Amino acid sequence: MLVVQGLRKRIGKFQLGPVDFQVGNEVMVILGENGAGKTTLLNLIAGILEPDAGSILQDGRRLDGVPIERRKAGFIFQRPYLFPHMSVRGNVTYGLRGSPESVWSSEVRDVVSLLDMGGLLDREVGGLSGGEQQKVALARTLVTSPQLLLLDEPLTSLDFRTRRRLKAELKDVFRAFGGPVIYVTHEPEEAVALGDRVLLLEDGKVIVEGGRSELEALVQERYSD
Amino acid sequence: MFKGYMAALAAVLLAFVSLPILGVLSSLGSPDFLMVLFRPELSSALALSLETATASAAACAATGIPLGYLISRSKSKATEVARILVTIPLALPPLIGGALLLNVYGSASPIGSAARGLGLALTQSPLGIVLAQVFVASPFVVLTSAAVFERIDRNYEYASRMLGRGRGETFLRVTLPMAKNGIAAGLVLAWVRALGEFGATVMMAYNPKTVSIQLWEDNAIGGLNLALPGVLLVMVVSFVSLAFWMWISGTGRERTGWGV
Repeated sequence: MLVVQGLRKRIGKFQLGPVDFQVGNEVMVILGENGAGKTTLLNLIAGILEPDAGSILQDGRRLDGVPIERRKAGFIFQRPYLFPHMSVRGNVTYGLRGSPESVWSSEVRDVVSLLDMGGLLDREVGGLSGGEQQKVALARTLVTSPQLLLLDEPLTSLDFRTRRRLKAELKDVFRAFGGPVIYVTHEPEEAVALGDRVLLLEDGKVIVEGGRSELEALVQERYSD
Repeated sequence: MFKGYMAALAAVLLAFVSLPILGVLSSLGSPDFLMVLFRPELSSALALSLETATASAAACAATGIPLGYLISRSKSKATEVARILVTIPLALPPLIGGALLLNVYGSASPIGSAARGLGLALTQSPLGIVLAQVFVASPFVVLTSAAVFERIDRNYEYASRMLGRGRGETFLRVTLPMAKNGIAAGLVLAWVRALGEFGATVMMAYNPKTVSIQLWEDNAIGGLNLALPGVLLVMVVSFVSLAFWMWISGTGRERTGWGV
């Protein structure tokens, strides 16, 4: 369970918060237009930014003040940020400790199979398409067994067909992951397809926070033609 | 018409630069060319320059790359001041740089005499040469490194840290490998600059003689007949270094990720 209480952050003239919400073993979608503060909120949870006030607790453990590398959170950015000097295999196993042979455990193979990316392992990063790169980024994160999954508009830079295909795969991934997921998007269709809960941000303020019914009502009210 | 004017002006500069480079080839026809070229004092001066330039480049790498990284990743006033400070040697005439170094590290200075007490000669020694070379060459490493690191999106580092790797491991396994070609190009420039350094070295360590000081002395004693064969030799070394630098900078671009 991730609990965010009274979280605030000022960046220049922009003020985020106060933000309060809880996420159990479900997918929370953070929805809002560009500049609403979605990425800022995600970066605060990830530890990329430190809050000015408030707290972030995961299973009772305070995360604020904990270095990024000790938060046990997985982060998928808008762009894959695969390490270009490493192969696909090298990228996938980057976060694992051990010899090249020992890191290829059954858990790693399960992730590769879940994402149907066995054919990518022996390819070079530079030769992959955008969708393939995001899959590798996802695998790279999931093999480290994070306790929390954070995704910042991971499908934004992809073409329509790839986005649709990967969106379907993400549903399976989240189901298999089983832990709290926070998914940032400005696309209402993605929110409805993937979310169990919703947090709507506008100019840094929480406008709506609720479950599935609130998500559907929100999308119907604000985003339908 | 416009292209013609541009080409004419460009040709003036190209001719001005090319003539001295091609002109040195005239020394090849000299009957004493080989004898002058293989004089022991010239070979030992060149060997000394190669050794000290390499040591200087290593010292610049060990200290300049971290400084370049800090400058690239911080927006504080302190790092802005640091950026300006390391650029100053580029703007100073080398002879003035040598005088500044001598003032602080010379045998009559507190640092110089303390070092002498420990058995270290900071002037008139190979160490003095390295001090002078590091002073003039370090900006190439610091500024190149800073520019290369600035082009690497910080999200690569955040991605590494989100995967459980700390800052140090992230720098060694992600940031530095992605920057290596650009940094190598800066190091080559620093090495070439150190190799040819004269002004600061003349002040800090006239002896033992580096190749630049040896050739300057050769010209003073025996004119161009004595100096040109050594000049040609140093030019060959410089051209090889320049070709290597161009290869690293051009075909071996640092891989900054997405779309590259």
